[in-house]
Amino acid sequence: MPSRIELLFFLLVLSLALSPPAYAYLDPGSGSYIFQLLLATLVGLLFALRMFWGRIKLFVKKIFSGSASDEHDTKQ
Amino acid sequence: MSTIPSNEPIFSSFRDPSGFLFSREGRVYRQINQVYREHYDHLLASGLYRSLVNADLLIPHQEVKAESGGTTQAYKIIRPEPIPFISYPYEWSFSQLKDAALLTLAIQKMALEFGMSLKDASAYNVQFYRGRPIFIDTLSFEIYREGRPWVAYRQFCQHFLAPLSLMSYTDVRLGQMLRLYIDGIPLDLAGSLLPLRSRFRFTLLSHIHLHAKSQKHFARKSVALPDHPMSRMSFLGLIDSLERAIEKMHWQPRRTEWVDYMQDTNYSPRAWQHKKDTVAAFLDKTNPKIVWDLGANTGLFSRIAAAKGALTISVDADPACVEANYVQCIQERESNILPLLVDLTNPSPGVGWENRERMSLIERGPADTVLALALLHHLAISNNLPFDKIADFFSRICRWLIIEFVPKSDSQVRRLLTTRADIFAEYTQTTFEKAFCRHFTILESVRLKDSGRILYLMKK
Repeated sequence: MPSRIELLFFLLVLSLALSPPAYAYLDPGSGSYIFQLLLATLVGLLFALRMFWGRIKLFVKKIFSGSASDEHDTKQ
Repeated sequence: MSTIPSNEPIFSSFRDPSGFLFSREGRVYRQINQVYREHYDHLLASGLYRSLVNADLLIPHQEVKAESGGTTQAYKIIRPEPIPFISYPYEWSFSQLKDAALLTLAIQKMALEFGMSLKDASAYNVQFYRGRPIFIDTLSFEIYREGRPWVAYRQFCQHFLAPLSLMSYTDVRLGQMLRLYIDGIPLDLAGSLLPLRSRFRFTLLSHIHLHAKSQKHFARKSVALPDHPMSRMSFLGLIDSLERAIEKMHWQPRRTEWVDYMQDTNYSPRAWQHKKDTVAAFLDKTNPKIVWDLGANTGLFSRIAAAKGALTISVDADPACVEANYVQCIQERESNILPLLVDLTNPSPGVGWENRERMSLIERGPADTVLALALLHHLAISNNLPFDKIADFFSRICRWLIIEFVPKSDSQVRRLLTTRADIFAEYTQTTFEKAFCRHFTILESVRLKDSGRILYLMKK
């Protein structure tokens, strides 16, 4: 489940986008197109954060497992 | 490389300007047009084709000589590995459609790694082959231009996300709406049929409800669009979000239904064994390559046919049976059973443009052998179908027929008659044989031990 802040942010972005400037005629699929751009910006950001967080966890894990194996080597 | 003679176009692929399917002497070929040249070359040169084929995600193909097979627009002619039986999304169970959706997203993710993207996300681009879903449209890949959004996003939502969410959240039978809407379920319709709680799931709130609102808002409006509006990270985030949405969707048939399946038989253990042995012996005599097991339940007799090497299409009208059958196929890694959801009293018709884009069930036959076990009384009594009509239908879909006659004295038939007036005076073994002998020759009949039921082996 997303947090309430994520949802509020998403709804804010959507409401801002619902009054775009008019230049060219678009087919009925344009609603999907524009919506995709907005949604992808949000989920892309979350995706990047998750990847970043995953890398931090991996890094920390490596440090600990590295020191653990060092200890093991010393004992041997 | 080999040379092929002139061609016969296949109707299902006429929309794509990149190429089309055609058949010649029973083999299916695909013409790749000059307009698609750059994309096809990239598919092969980038290593994407090899990676997808090695991972069993895309159907492999061979290139053949173009001179005598294609039109003047031809760049290349390819011969894909043949799919022995074509099935459609409205004939799949919940998990079959879910697996097809996840396959499409897995392919899209791999394509991005090789600088390509799917331009279609149609559920009809997936078929079940050797027990697993596989992507069959080699021309669906286009070179990815940095900054471009996913052109197939709306189609993916309509073909996969909308039907799966309706099946999972509202009623599994709503999967049948795919038969009505050939380009997937309209998102505003899906949104109106989904329960309120679906709006509390971020993925459904966004990809279906708000997506539908946005479609409505921008319909017939003019807007300016940026040239490179979507970063690669956003693209990956979108695919990841769709994948999470699909993975979290589940459908579990109610426990009582399962119990019913197990108990819904009146055979003694001896009669049951005798039935299995007799069906196996009849199958040996027909030596089929393709079997249709009609009214297959969860596929017990389909597995007898499959064990003999026949590709077995295991058909039932109950979504729970087809789901259980498919789950077993995946768990046991069974490669030659294809469970399908078809109501025989209203089988899949020809749909789409000119009623020819998707074939009817009958057009996809005939099978070498049809199994019709414990089915006749449901057709004749529950659905008021005269024996003549039933025999006509079977004569159009098979060469050999293994059929079980269930007499009126049988407890299952008596159960059907408790809620109906017995207007079935013609329901006798004699009229049954007479009706079927109009099309078939009865080669053998065996009365099952401890039972009034009779198994027939018939040949057209």
